Amino acid sequence: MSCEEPTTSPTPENNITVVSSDGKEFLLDLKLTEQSETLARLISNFEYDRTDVKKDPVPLGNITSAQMQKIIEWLQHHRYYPKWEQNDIHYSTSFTFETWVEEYLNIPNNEMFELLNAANYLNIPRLFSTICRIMASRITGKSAEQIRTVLNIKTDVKNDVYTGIPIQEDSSSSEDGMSEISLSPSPPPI
Amino acid sequence: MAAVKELVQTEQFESLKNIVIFATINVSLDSFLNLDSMDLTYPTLCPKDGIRLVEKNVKMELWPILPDTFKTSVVKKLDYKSRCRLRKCSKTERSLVDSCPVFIKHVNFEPRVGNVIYFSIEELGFPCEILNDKACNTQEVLQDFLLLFKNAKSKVTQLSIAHYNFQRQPDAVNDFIAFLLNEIGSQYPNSFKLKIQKLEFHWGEMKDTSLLSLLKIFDPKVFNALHLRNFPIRTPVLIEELLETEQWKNLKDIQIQEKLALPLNIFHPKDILSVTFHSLRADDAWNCIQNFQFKPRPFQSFFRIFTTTDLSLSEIFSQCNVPAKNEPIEKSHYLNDYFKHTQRFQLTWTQECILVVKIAKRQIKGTICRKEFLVDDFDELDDL
Repeated sequence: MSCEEPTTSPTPENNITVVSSDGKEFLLDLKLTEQSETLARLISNFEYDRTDVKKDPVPLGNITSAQMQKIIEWLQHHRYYPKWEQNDIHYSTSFTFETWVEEYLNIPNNEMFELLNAANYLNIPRLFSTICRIMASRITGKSAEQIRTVLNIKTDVKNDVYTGIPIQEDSSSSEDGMSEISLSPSPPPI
Repeated sequence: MAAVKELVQTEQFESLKNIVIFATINVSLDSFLNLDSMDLTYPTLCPKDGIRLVEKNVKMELWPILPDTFKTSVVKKLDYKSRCRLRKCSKTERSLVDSCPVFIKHVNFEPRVGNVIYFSIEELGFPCEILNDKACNTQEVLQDFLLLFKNAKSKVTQLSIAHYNFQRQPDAVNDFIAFLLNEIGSQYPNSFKLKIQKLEFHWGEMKDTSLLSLLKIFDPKVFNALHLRNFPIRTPVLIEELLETEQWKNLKDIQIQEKLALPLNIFHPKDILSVTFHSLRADDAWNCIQNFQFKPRPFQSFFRIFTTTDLSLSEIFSQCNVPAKNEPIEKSHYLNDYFKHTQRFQLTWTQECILVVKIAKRQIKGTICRKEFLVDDFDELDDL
């Protein structure tokens, strides 16, 4: 088994070993694991932050070595960032991302979904939320038809026999209603 | 070039994921659109191909098989307009969107001539966009309005009703409220309440029973501010009924512009009170001061009472347990000429704030201010 070290070379006292599903070992600085609620809880429960406690390798059965490598890259980059605070109340219609994040997540969709799974498993809220924001940015501003194309959604909404327009049963809004909410800078004249 | 054309037809090419070709090629872009990544050089690229490339990069074909918890996290990041559009894609997406609460900053209704209602939505967040700002028939407006509350946790910070053309359509607001109550009554259980934090009625006329019924459909745990141009409830029976409602009891902020012919003691909000009376008795003014002096409130909470007859400074201070001492908080001559007296009261419940009471010829205003920020805090929450 190979043992890969993050760039900061943790010493035995301040690291733990995690093992990916394909048996690869990774040395992880305890400081980095603070970003993962799953790992942080595990370290706290087993008192792995104490120097006199023997640390057994932690098996991460749901995460491949490629994913773990990618996650370590994320943890390293955000090592000194302040603690993540979730905010789903103030949403934005324009998504902007750090250049580093854009490059980091410039990966095929299947890899992004796997990474989302891994972020969820390890409970890394900043990574999970960032991937969700990237996905949201691909939906926002698009019409219903464009969203169907982007998300590969097969519509099961009944169409009007004459117009072919999808019928919403509980909304006034067909294609020209709420779904295509008009947007103008000032209210219309009284 | 021929080699590339041949390459894209091989079985090996079908299993390729990435490709880099340094030479300029002229093979159709379609051949490469299924690859994960490509680095190609074309002599020219038509706009249509450009759009297809962008679409390829934003496509998320695996969305339908993504677990619902992940999809929910994505939907929670979307603005309201995008959610409405996603909602139309399929029944699955409709349930998904409805499972996520929305948080709206402002909903505005305005009855217009021709039995239509102008209806707009402003979301929380940045940039602020006004959505759906158009006039529709009442039925459509109500359906779209109630769509906001599809999820039981959805919340609207402010609901505004303006009735500028009330002289031509005196019953427009009353009719609209009746429609709304009818719609809620027919579609929702009795326990259904609108999670609206603040009601603002700018202009026009509303019947006493309409206001009372409207207040009763607000969730009393959320509703806490009432700003009205006039206060239509005058009869003792309805006032009694209003005072008994949880919605009234939980109000923290009441601001009414019209001159009131009701006793001051029915308006006892926790944090903000702004009302107008013909006159104010000295003992009522002193009660108001004491109410703020002895009951804990957030800083910047205030009371302001306008009168149409002059206030007597000597009568007010004859009630006080402290001697009158004029200590203006700002240096502005204009303000100090307007407010003829500024009194600072110590608070029994905190050392960090004081109650600053300014008395003008026909206005008395008291605000809980932090000792270090008297000027900043005094008018901070004042809409006027």
